Amino acid sequence: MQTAFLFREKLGQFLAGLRRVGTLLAPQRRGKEGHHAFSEVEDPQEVVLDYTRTLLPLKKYFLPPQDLLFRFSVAEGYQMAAEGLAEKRIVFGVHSCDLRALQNLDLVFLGGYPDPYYAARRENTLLIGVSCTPDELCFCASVGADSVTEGYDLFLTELEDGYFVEIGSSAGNDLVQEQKELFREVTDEDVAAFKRRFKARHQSFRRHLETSGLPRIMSLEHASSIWASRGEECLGCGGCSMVCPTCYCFSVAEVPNLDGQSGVRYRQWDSCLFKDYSVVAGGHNFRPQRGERLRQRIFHKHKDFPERYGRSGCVGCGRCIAFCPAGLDVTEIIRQLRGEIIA
Amino acid sequence: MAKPRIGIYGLTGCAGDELVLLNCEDELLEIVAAVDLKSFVTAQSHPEECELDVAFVGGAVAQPHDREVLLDVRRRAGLLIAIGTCAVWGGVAGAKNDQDRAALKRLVYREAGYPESLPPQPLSAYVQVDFSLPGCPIEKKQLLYSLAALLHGDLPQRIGYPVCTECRIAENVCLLKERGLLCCGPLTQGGCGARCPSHNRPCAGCRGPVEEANVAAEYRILLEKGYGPEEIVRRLGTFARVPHLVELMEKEGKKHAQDIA
Ligand code: SF4
Ligand code: SF4
Ligand code: SF4
Ligand code: SF4
Ligand code: SF4
Repeated sequence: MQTAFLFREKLGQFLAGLRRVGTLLAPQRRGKEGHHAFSEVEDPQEVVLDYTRTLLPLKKYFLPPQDLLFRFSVAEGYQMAAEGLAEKRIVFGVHSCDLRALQNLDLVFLGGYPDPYYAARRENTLLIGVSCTPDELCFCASVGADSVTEGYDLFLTELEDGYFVEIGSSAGNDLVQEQKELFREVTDEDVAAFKRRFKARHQSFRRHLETSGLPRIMSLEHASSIWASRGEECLGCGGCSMVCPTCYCFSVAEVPNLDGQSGVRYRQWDSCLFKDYSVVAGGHNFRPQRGERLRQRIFHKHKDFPERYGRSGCVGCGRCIAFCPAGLDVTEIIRQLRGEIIA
Repeated sequence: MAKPRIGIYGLTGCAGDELVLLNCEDELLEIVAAVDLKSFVTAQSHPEECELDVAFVGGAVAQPHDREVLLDVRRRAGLLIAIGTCAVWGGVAGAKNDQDRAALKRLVYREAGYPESLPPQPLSAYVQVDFSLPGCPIEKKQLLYSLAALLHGDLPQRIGYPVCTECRIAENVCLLKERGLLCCGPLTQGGCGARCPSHNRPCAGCRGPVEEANVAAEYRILLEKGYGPEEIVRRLGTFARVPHLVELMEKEGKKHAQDIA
């Protein structure tokens, strides 16, 4: 593992330097009272390092909410849309859970049938992680997403007077070499401080999700009345899927032009919480009840994804809990399923 | 292929939805070139009332004359498309449909009287509607998209998600959850890009209910936030006072009262 140490007072300079490499995207506050959101950096001073969670995760940069796929016309046939795919970007300030979530998306979009749009964006984007402090909703440690050993170009852990930098790729190494005057070598004391910080963070998690045997328990509880009762609380707003870093469902739609000869096709984020998500040709809905749809979401994260890919489909970022207008909490529902709480 | 014959009609309403079409300045010439516009009295002097391929009808049915026009248009049109929340849900004019019509008429028209008023109803109360474009007024983008889809021989795609979906995508603060405001977003059909919450105003529900809106859950959330039953029903029903949704709220209100008793 290659490491370096970035001086605290040099961070702004480092960020300014990154802007010369590509479009710099990082967490910033939306308005005075808004949420943190990844957005393009104009002024490095505006970048927030100690944010808890952004409203939308990183997926918006690789699988945009509305993604133009191709144009078609009677005269010219199909033309793949390539806007922005080659843009060089650097996302700075990504937490481990979000890096881990991106690895889940990689399994889906770069696996069996690689998705050219996703692949191109992924190829042209560098990722710089940053350490975080869990709040009462974070449970990434329960699903193995509290630390990552791959999937980043650089990872910064904040220490007393600067940042302990882990270098994860040769592109990451280039970023350090290009501004090497901002860094010094890591000392034994830095390593000791890094280890102390790691342990303290690990002990600070307040929320836990017991995952042992979860896929089997879910199978056993497939017909549980819990689904229907919790489903009645769900507003079906789809918010949980929008904010979830590992939700990747989309629907495909065509927007024709008025000439009757041409148009575009795009895909847009979808959610299994919507009633029409599970409607098939002929009008049959194989998940007509709200409870069945809520079950689908939790099943996909905690049973189907792990069974298929061997890792949790949830990275414990806490977004679905933080942003659900109905106050639904996946960790609570799972405790209910496990019989740990009666509600 | 012959150009589709189109008619655009307005019943009782503000004609705002027809104006949205006229406001498509950049596309108007293209639209006029693509269709055979037979009747559009808001914008045209010599309408031709004939067989139509598609009729767009805005406004609510609020007087016997509206009903006659609607039935006549329905008979002549292949597809009938309701435009605007009045046509789709009854709109603001129908917000007091639970009250005595005669008393309302006395209150509004005094001695002058206005004997011909009906409780404002959506088009679907009288005829089959093939597609609905809600909104107060409708969204220009959806109108153009729908026209284009029809020109391609398709019905437009319906929007099955609520305002919240777009509000989350816009990364707004949730006014309901985080500010405790009475926001109709979870119950309201999306498509406006969460216009109001994006300007820090709660959604007033102007696009009418989304498919399978969970009114009971929203009603309970609002009661728990301290809103009174009347205020909730009034606000959720401003643009679309749909009797069975009001019933669901009343039922939930009774359940809630039992729960806290
Ligand atoms: S399911 Fe919830 S906690 Fe898990 S990754 Fe998605 S948003 Fe985060
Ligand atoms: S099925 Fe549901 S939970 Fe799974 S990715 Fe799709 S929207 Fe998310
Ligand atoms: S965010 Fe909450 S209310 Fe909205 S669909 Fe998800 S679980 Fe249901
Ligand atoms: S502000 Fe309103 S529309 Fe936006 S997410 Fe909250 S409830 Fe939904
Ligand atoms: S946010 Fe609500 S009130 Fe505002 S335009 Fe959209 S549907 Fe209408």
